[in-house]
Amino acid sequence: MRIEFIPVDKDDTLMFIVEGIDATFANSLRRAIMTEVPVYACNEVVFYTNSSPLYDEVISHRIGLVPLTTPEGTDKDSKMVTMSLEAQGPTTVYSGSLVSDDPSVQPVNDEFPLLKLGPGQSISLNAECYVGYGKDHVKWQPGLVGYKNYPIIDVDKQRCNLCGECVKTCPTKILGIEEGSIVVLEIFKCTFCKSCEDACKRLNENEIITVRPMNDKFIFRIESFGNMSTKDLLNTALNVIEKKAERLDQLLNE
Amino acid sequence: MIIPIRCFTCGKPIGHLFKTYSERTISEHPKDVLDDLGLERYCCRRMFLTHVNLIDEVLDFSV
Ligand code: SF4
Ligand code: SF4
Ligand SMILES: [Zn+2]
Repeated sequence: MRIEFIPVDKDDTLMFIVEGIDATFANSLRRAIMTEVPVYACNEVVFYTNSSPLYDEVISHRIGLVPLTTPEGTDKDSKMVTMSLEAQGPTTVYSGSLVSDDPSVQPVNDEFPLLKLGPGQSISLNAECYVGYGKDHVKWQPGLVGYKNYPIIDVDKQRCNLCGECVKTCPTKILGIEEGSIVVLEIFKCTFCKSCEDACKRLNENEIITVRPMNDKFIFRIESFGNMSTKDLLNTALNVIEKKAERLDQLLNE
Repeated sequence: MIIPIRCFTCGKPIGHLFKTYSERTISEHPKDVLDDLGLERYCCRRMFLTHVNLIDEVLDFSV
């Protein structure tokens, strides 16, 4: 297995190419990150006062969806964290007003608008945050992962007349002409739309350029929602897969 | 009503970007603002483009 990282100019995104795995493994990694990484999210809210125009249920739902930072080593037995919220109108109440009893578990951003209070209205509540998994609810989903096959873009050099139609048509602008031949600039941006094939066929009535997927090489993209860094997400998910594989091995040996 | 915390489709947290979005779109084109905010997918972009902020309308009618 060979792994090669692709530089991305965003902190919350990780891109890499893996060679030597099949689609089954690629998908289990994707699913492990999205559904099996334990993170904190608010799961129960106790209301003391709420005279805002939003119902209790709406407010609890909104608080639940706020992503919370999750310290390293968190598992499903980690303790409950309570956050309290108290505000007096007129004001917009942001996630920054949630006071957590554990400084390592906090909203990832202080700017999420939770509710709005008019003059004379007030809110007072306690939110109980538990560790959970993305497979149970989206509020525990720590990120988004996607993968696609690595493309092979072949150009028949003998027959290519450098008409440039494929370069012009490619919607992601990854083809170019350099030194009398077609070159691929950023191959990982190819979407397999095959517009280049169509354009070439239309103009030259020949399949000179072809795009096909490789079945053992994948381009991954991991986007973190802020609960933990993309590297921690990947590490935790790989540990989860390893543990599951060990358990299966154990069961098979019994 | 009030901007959702996450994108309905992909789950990306977007609520915290609404203040910047609504302030900047007064003078700028929404496309440029959405690009700057790092919203690439059209599911997240429509959360802003189709949002109607009615919360001020209902503020007087508390339960
Ligand atoms: S469209 Fe076909 S013939 Fe024209 S430059 Fe591209 S590959 Fe070559
Ligand atoms: S398949 Fe689409 S994205 Fe890929 S090179 Fe051809 S036109 Fe460009
Ligand atoms: Zn989205």
